[in-house]
Amino acid sequence: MDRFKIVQFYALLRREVLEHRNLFIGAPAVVALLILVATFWVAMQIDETQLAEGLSYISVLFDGLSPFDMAPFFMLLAIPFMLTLYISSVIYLINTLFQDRKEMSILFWQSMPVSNLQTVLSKVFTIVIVAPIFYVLNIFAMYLIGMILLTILGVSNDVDLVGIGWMFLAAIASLVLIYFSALVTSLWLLPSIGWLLLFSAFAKKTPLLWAGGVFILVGFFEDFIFGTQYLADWVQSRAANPNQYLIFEFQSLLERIFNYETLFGIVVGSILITGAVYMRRFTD
Amino acid sequence: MSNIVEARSLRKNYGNFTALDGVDLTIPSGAISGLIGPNGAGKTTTLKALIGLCDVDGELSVTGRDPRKARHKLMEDVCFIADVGILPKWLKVSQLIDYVEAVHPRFDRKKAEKFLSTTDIPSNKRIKELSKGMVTQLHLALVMSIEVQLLVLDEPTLGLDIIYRKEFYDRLLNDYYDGNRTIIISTHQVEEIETLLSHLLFINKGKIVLDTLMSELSQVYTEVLVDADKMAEADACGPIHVRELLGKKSYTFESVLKERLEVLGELQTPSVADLFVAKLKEDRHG
Amino acid sequence: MKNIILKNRYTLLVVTLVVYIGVLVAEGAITGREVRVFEFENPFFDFNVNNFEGFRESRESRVSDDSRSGSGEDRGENRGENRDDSRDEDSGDA
Repeated sequence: MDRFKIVQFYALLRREVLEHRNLFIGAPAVVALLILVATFWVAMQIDETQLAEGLSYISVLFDGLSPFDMAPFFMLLAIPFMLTLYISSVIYLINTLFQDRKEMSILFWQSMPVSNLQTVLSKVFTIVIVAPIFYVLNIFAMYLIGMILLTILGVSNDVDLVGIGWMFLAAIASLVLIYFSALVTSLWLLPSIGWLLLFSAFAKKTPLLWAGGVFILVGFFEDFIFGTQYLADWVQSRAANPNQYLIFEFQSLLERIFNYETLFGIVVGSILITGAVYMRRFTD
Repeated sequence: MSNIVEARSLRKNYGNFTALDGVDLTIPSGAISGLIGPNGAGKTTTLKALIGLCDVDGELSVTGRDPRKARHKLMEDVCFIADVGILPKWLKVSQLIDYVEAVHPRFDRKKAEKFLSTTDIPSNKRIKELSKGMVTQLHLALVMSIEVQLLVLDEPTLGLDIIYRKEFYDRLLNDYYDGNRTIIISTHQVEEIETLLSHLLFINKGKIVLDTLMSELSQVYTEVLVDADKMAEADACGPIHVRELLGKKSYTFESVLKERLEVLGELQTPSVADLFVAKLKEDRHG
Repeated sequence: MKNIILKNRYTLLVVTLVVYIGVLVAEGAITGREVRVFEFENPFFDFNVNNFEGFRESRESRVSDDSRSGSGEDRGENRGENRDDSRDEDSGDA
């Protein structure tokens, strides 16, 4: 790929982030702020002695343990961010190819020498690779502020907080786990990403209704025509275990990507994304 | 002179409505072509077909490419301004320039900034905060900073006041057009552009009803103001249009020898606006 | 053929959905697909804050076991086969 194409693709990604900064930057910042405020408020309700005891306990909790082994401990804190990311992703994907047709700016975007393939791929890339980066940065900022607050509380309560460093390292290591958790989940959910993009490009109105309605209809259609329920089984298998959407161990990362179900899902998702690419040519 | 656009038998239907009904047109390189027609005639559909934004049946070649096959490649050589509403409202001016600089290989940022410095457009404002006229100025500044062979303008001054409209065409002619670039402008405000044009296309009900160079217009079309006593003779010459004018009648003729018409009254070349009305009414009456 | 598929948005949608359903039905028929729940390990659902030391020890021994035996059998089979019987029934459930 030549340098100009890379610069072009970067400009497309930048455009997506600028247009949806509320979803990618604002939303996780609000979640981080709420968690910090709630934690700080709880800390203020606790009796001073208990607070000092708690802080001492925390300061040695992670002492001596490998940050990568203890990183998964922080995944529980990541759950509200992951939920926010999934909801934001649905909002983003169902609107992204619809909104610029609705406001006619598609005529400007398509007057530039950028292909429909580049445009749609930039949106997939934004959700799979880029959006989680902003979420992780917000989580990092939350950890940093949390650590500073913890230190201030510790100092003001005369607690030795040397061990906090280990906890912070584990928290930082968890950021890698959180990012890859989001990435792997996006790959797992690539069919859903493709489905939403397809209907975002297709619908003249109410794309979410189209996406949901047709989703239900195709299930009935398969049963009616073929007498089978493979589609329903497949969807149910993929959605059944919420544990799939959070990774708690570094060791399982590669296995979660390079397995038959994920790879087959990527094939199916690619079919739907290809449909979205061709659908983009209909600008009305 | 080679042709930058060649179209044969373009057809497009929107449901039961026929937008293009066998459009044939050629646009010579270096021309300033006016595509003139009433509302719903097929102007926008034709222009969108030329830049690959609308799938049509028929043969089509723009700068040697089929717009339906490689639109994004074509857009390296073609720029397009639709009516004023299409710039993304959420972008800031500076972000828009950054974007175009990154995605267009022929964009000259310094040129764009130089054009914008002569306007009142602040670079940190969002496009939704700009007036309609400013948005058009901005879009024109961007487009004039891109080295392309063909510029397609679809009603670019629609809804603008006279100052912005005049400035738009002044900039287009003085700062942009160099005799090598081709410009296609569609409009129904004929009077505004008739002095700019070198090539004229009339479109009505999805069909091209006139395709001529301005230099040939006077050879083909003649307008005569005829006194009452010569009207019968004028009618016998087969005018394409007749209209009342201050007690006399103005006749418009197509491809009738001037020697034959001289006896009827004073000859002149019809204005593009009058010719437009004449051809439309001829088309209406068959 | 391409002209028919790309005639309008509706034909394109229908073709895309037909391919989508076709691939899934074909895959399901070939592989004999049934509903499966994919169990990936999640020991942190076992976590009890009152027994953190015990949890630490179990994590430490877990990590050293994995480095000896390599990953695999107790990670949860991707085709949804039953998990290792030695595992606690409650662990890993959604």
